[in-house]
Amino acid sequence: MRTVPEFSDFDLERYSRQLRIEGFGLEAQRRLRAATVMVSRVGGVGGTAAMNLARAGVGRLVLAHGGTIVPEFLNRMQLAMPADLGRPCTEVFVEKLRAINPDVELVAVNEYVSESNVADLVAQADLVVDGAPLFEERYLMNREAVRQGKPLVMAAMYGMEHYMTTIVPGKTPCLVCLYPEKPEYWTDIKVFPAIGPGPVVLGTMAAMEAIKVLTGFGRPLTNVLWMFDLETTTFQRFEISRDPECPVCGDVTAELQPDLRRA
Amino acid sequence: MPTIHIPTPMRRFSGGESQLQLPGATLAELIDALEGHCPGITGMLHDDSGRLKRYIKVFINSRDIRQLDGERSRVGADDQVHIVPAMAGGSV
Repeated sequence: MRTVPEFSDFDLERYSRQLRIEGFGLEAQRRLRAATVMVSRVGGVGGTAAMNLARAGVGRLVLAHGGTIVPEFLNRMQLAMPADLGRPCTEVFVEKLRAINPDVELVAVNEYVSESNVADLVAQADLVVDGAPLFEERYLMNREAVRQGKPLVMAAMYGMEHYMTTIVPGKTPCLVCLYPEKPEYWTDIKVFPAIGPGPVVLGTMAAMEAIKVLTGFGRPLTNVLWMFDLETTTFQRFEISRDPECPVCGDVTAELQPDLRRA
Repeated sequence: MPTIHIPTPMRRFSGGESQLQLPGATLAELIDALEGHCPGITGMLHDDSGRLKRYIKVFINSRDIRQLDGERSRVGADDQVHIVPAMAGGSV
């Protein structure tokens, strides 16, 4: 966490509604402003998470997303507009997030998570939100977050089904504890169907998870896989546990940052 | 009868149904009944050695069957069984 300036009168008015939430208050707001969240892919899920984190007053966002805006993004990506077609994604996302909250420091990396950048991306962050559409990127990010002892909000979907859990290395199952292998049918980024409300709900919930872990407010989704199906409008909470034989986190008993020990 | 919830990638075997009520006193019996009702579906559940695929989790109510008795776990008439395969969709 970084050292941050005191809040101005405008800041206090801007965040006044959330400062009134019982158990949140100015100390949580300070922690949020001091925090950096890294978002892996800034589309339907990650873009919504980034937008909510910017509105809530997170201090810094590190955004990793490659490519340019294409028409099929427009049904669900809150940060993409028709006028943005053809523009580099990160340029568009930074522009929109800056308009939402100019006080948030934005670090944009115009590429996806890879072996060559994952360590540096995670090192810049206090927490990771992972919304990547490929298991290869998710396994890579999971491994690195565990290695660096950084919490990771894992939010994923397929059609109308969505799930999320908060991974705190050494205290909760990691992605490999849950799913040691990817489905053989998950072959490329276009494999999953999506309509706006699903990723937007999921991304919003991922932002709230990040806020809870970073500020100590509330009870994060640790050791729980939270799932919702918008076709049947049903919600489930499943108990999950670490795999002591997990090749990624089985031997991790990492000391956590003091303000994350409530997780 | 217990209710079994079918995930999206397997609904092509269930005629699009997202949940079915089927007979069975154990999870294995319930899965047998599922195969009888939705021929071919267990090909997505089990690997060649007959074990649950490593990208699939099964919960009885909120409990992971790996914390219970695997496919020998008992299921009751009011139980909800959820098949939850790994997903990665999010932000293209």
